[in-house]
Amino acid sequence: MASSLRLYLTCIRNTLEAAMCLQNFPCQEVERHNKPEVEMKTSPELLLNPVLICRNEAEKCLIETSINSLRISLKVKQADELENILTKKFLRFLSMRAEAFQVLRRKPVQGYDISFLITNYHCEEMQKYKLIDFIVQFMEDIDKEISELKLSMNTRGRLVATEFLKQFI
Amino acid sequence: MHHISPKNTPIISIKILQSGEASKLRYTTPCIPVSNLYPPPDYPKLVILAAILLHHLPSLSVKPLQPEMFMDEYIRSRSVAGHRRCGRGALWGCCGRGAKGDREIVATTMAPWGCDAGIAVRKRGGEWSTETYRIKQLAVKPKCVRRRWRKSGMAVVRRRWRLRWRWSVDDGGFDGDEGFERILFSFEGEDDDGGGRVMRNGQADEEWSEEIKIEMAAIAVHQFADCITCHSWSADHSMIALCPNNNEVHIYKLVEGNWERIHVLQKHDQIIAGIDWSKSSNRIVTVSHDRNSYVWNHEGSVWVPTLVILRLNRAALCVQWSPKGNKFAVGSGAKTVCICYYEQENNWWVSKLIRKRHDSSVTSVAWHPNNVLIATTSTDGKCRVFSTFIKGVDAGKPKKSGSGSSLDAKFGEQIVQLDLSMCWAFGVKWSPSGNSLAYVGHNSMIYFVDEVGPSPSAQSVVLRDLPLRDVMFVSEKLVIGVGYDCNPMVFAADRTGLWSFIRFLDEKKAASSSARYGSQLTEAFGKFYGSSKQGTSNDKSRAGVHDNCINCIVPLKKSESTKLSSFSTSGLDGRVVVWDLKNQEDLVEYL
Repeated sequence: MASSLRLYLTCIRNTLEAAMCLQNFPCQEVERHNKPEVEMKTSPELLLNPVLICRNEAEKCLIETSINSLRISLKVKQADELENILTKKFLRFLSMRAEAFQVLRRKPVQGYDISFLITNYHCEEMQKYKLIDFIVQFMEDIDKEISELKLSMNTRGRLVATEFLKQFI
Repeated sequence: MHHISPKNTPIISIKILQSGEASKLRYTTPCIPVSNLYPPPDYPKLVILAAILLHHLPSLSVKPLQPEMFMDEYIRSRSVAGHRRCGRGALWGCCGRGAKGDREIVATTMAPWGCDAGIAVRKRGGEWSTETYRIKQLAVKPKCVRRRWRKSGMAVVRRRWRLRWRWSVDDGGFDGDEGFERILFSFEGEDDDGGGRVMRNGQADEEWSEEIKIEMAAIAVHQFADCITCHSWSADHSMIALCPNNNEVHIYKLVEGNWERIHVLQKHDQIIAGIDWSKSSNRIVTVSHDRNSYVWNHEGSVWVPTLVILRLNRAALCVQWSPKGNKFAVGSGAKTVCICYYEQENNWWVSKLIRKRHDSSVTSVAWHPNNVLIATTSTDGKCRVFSTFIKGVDAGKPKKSGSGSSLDAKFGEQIVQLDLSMCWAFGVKWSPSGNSLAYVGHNSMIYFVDEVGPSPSAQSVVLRDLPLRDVMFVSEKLVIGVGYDCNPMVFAADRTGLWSFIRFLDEKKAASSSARYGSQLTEAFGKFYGSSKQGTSNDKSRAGVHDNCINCIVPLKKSESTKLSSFSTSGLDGRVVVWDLKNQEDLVEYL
């Protein structure tokens, strides 16, 4: 792992550790509701300052915290159009299966590629450090995944082109 | 920092420490498990130490160094006797080194696969000779905690996973006052035993050995549910009422050493946020996010609920009986506080609201011992004190106490507003005398306020760790805080009244770092011996008693006259842990 990536991930991990101090908190605007405040944004005093961690312009991570929920939005590196398409397709594939991931949000926050929503219920059911590990591991893997996809895409393209051009020999 | 790899030594690491650095460096370079580093008391500047061999023979390397003679005096005392008896040799740690007169001594332990402790002694400049002790079985309590051994002595810290061998020496230290003549070894046994033994003058003679009981602050751990939101004890502590993170209250009773669930109180239809069991009247009050509150009376063998009309339109968040038991206060998400009292003629509980003042949800309420004042904290970051004087309930004017003229105030009048926190405030409590109060902020701060009244004086203590959720006064000078760090924190006031953080009650920090390098060693051994990994599955889990956020702390007071020393905590991990401070030597002075 490149050292700058490690620093980036460590920074995110530490921020998440501090931010993931959630508690059960019922809505104070709507009767008998208990919704993630970070999504509802009904009371400004229940939100903390969002933290934006950038590795460079193309890669950043926005961590928004409230009293009972936490939203992590990631922007994944996209160097060219191909990566752009691959990222979009791949993350869409994941988002469609958000239930399986529990903490994945179905739609990313605007300006980001993928978002996670962690509520106090997740913290009650799961261990905090495992949740953080999951997010960090995900970030680590996503770059690898995309570049692998890109490689196999290129290989396949070359193969197809070779096969196609054979008929002209 | 220097690393040297002498010939014939497969893996070895020697670190030079400045004294005082030792505690920081207990977990050293990632590749080399130096399991223990202790500076001897009489080497003021440059110190040792320790080598661990991952291969075949245990070996002990010691280097009392000056920088200029770095490689000159490399001493290696090979094959500390006893490793062959253990079958698998490994030096677990060099636990100390000392010198007195012309003698020098090095102690080591031969764990985790053995119960031997080794000692090397020599005259200054002479040859090392080695001795081995086999530590006999002792049965004491599990999970050691740090034990202070006099002022200049070593500390023994340990809490580890269970081992296959019956006993294993974990660690040791020298007595600072007597040089190396007394050595303390601590060890752990198969059935979660632990203990210590003192060796004197290098003699393993039974006569010279003492058993040392290593007491732990947590005296009982009960796993009642997956997740507990709040709990409360009956007056005699034989029963506990708790909410397992749903709309029920479970009451457990201690029957012949086992906790049995004897009642389930079902009336609420959303999660229960607060339970309080009156000490004087054996009534339970519960509040829930469904905006309701019930007072439960024990009639015959059943608990009979009485609905209290709180007149709230948002969730109720916390509840507490007043000291006399004739009123209770409910904090709510409707930014109000309800004070409820019983009206004999109508046979119901009446709720009076303190409507103004709060700008956000009320997260906790606390009654002043005089039964009139309450303190509240709110997510707007403020702590407020109100008068709740109710005619007919609070007969006559109570005697004036430290809080002064505030007792003349009408119902709902705000006595003081403390605007110390920049973030949400939680967990307010009064001290036993009612002269001061403490509360916490979500920005990892704890606030102590003295002379609550027109001119309060406040102290803020900043924490290095995650924020707290709740606090409790043990005495006027000792406060326990619990929260997201899963480990109760101890705060104490010194003679001048200055509050500071003392330590974690469960010594998680030391334990977890030892577990970390411990697991490395175990893994390496696992590979080496082809055996399966043991005890490494939880290598990153918190080593403390609680492993998720603690959100509730309740005092356990035996009777009015005795000093409070024990309390219970519960958290999202579903455990209720009973703690006792009596056996914590360093805290007794504050009780």
